[in-house]
Amino acid sequence: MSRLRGFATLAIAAAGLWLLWSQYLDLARLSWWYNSTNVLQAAPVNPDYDLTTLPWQTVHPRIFELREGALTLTTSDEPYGYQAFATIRANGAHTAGIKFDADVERGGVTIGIQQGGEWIAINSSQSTGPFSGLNSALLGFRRSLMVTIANRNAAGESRVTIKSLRLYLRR
Amino acid sequence: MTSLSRIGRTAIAGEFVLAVAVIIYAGMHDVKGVFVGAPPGLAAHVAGTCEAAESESTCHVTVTELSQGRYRVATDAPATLLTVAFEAPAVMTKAHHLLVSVPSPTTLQWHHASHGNAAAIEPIKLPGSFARTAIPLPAHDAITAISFAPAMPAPIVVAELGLFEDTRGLLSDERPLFQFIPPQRYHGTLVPRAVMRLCFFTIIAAFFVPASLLRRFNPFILAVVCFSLCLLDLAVLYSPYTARDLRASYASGPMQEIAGSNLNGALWEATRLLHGQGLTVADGLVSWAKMPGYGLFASAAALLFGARTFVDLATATVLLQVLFYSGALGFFTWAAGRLWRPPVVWTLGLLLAMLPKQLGYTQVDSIIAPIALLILATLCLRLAAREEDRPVARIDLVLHLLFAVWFLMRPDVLPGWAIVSLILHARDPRRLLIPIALAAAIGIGWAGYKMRYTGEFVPTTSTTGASLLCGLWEVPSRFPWVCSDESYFAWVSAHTPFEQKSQAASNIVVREVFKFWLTYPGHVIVMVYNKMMRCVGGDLWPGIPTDLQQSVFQIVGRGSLILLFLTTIALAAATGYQRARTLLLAWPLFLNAPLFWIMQTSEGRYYGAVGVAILVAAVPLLFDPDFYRALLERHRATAAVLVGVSVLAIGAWPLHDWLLRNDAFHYWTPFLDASRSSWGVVR
Repeated sequence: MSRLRGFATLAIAAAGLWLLWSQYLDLARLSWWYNSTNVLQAAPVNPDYDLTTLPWQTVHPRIFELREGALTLTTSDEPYGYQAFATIRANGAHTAGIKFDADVERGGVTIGIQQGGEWIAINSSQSTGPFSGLNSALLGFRRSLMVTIANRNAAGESRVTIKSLRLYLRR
Repeated sequence: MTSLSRIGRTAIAGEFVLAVAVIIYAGMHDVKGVFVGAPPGLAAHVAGTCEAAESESTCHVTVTELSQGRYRVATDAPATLLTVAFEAPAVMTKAHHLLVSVPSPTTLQWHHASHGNAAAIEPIKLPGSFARTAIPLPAHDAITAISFAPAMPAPIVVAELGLFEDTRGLLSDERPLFQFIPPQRYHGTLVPRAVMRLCFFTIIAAFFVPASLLRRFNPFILAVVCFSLCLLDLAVLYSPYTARDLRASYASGPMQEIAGSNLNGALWEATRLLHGQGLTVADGLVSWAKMPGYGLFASAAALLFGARTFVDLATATVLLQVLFYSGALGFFTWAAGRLWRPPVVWTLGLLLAMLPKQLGYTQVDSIIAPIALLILATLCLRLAAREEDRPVARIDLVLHLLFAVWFLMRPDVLPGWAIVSLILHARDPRRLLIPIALAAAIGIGWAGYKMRYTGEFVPTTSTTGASLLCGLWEVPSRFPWVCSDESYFAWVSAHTPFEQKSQAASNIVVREVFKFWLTYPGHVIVMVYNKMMRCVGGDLWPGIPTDLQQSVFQIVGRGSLILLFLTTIALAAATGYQRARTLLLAWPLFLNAPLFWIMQTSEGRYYGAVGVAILVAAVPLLFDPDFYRALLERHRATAAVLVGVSVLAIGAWPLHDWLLRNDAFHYWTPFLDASRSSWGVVR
């Protein structure tokens, strides 16, 4: 019984340690995020990748047309289905930042960065009109990351023109 | 204790210390932001002129110092232009940034040394809504003045204006950690939520900390933690970075209201008292609605912390309120340590410190909760002394002095004071002379003082009639009347020959209200029931909750928490476990709250004492194993209470709604003719 009590005490101690550490970590990560997006806002002109240099692969969009530096995308009917992604090597970067400027003509769209199948930076618009954003994320240990565009329209097809999309990798 | 336990307990104790240190640091970090509002500005002498909107009218500018080098500048009439000149060229050369915030969109124009008149520099559009803006000053030419032009002619207000060498501490606080998180999110959400989680962790951890250490340090640490939590709340409500700091709020709010208003009455009393003009709010005018205590409290704040300006006085009063609350909590935890185990005292003290408070308001209701805490602390000492068979004469004296302090602040304590005194001194009625003498001394003293100004002998306030009348219209009904001073004064002027604020007028209104009660007994029942339900539904914890409390209330509603505590009190009373102690500690619930169910409730701001009392009465029971044993032993009483509470929890609000909708009952007039009542009109 006393051994059980001892384990319970240790469990509470561990929970306390986790609470203290997680509170610190959450705030530290958020502070880092604000800092990195501030840096992104004043980012240099030359990104590591842009709309034209990203190696896009399509899933099954109705239209995927890259012309004169802009991407016109008409999605499939699948409400939240992935439409296009670009897989790139991290090359030792610890931070990825994304900055984009789009115009949603119909439905909604999600633009973000994925690593290991998980979204690590995500911006979504569920309404039509201008849709700009910047986001950043700490990269994990994996060697690659994906810039992904997905549909975000429960009713079906969406249509968006992405006027610019820049990806910055910081080492 | 096994070595595993020992290691675990040591780790938990360390984490407890760390968590408490973080909680204290988080609050202490906000001291300057809350009480000063901005770093010291440059000492440029500020003078203003304005152009009236109408050519024949005059326009004057008022400059109020908020803090060193930071001012509020306003016109007293609609104007098209407000010009502020900076009359210190030497200082101007050091100035690099202009701090400005305005309530409505305004255009800022520059005047500089090489151009006498309008600016060659592009004007700046200020966004309004009190958003703080730090504007870099043009580097090439010294600014001599600035002008503010509103979009439409209106009284122009510049809520904050100052010159600074740099922007450090103006738009965000200076933090060693997490400095990139915007202040609104950091102070408004993240810190309160993190601190709340740490507080709850310490409640668990306290049961593993050595009891002897906790007993010794509980009063001091909880007082400091309470001070810190008070500051966290104030930093959210009066953040200089997101809204208006305390000083700017008072300068643009209560200071602009007529002398004697809710939030400035005591400040005027204190100012005039310290200038030898008596405890008055204006020449020959003594408050008709207040006891003298809170004016004296504000005077004490001025003496303790200095009050060069009215804004300083408001800030000093708020600071003293925070210190008083924290000190009262420290005293309470020391006294509570005589009755309950240290971790239980820690839990209770922390919950009391976490309650929503009204400490940012310079009105008497803000300090009723700490006074109640002091009374409850003294009752704890008395209960402990009784259990140990020690004499209680001195404790009784202190107890009645504290009741007297409450009476000096607000007269609503009288029924509770009288009944508690009768219960405590049932076996020694001579001791009743203490409360009688104290109440008489205060009442007669105040009545005698006021008589010089009013010609009436009134030992308390002259607002019984106004409060009873107002209380009638605070519940939903088809009566067309509203609760306001203006409607009360209008009725008095129309129906009595007496002065509006007189006791004679109040007496007539009281009689008329009693007649109305008899005319519409259904409305009285609806009124009492509605106010009682609102009270136990959450109003008994008055104050503006911040994320420190909201993050808890979003998980467990206020009403559910209060129901838990009321059920606990009911179980103790029904099973007889610690019955006398529990009921005595919960006395404000039974002897103070019901007063406001028939009088003005003012959205619950008078319930401060009730909120702390139910915690003090209920929380220790929840941590007492013998309480649960008693519940099992007296299972019939327990079951009866639980069934009763369940029925109430399920049926009380539907019954309330049914009563409100049932016009036949609500407007039933069985005894008197409605047309003979002054207010017997139904829409």
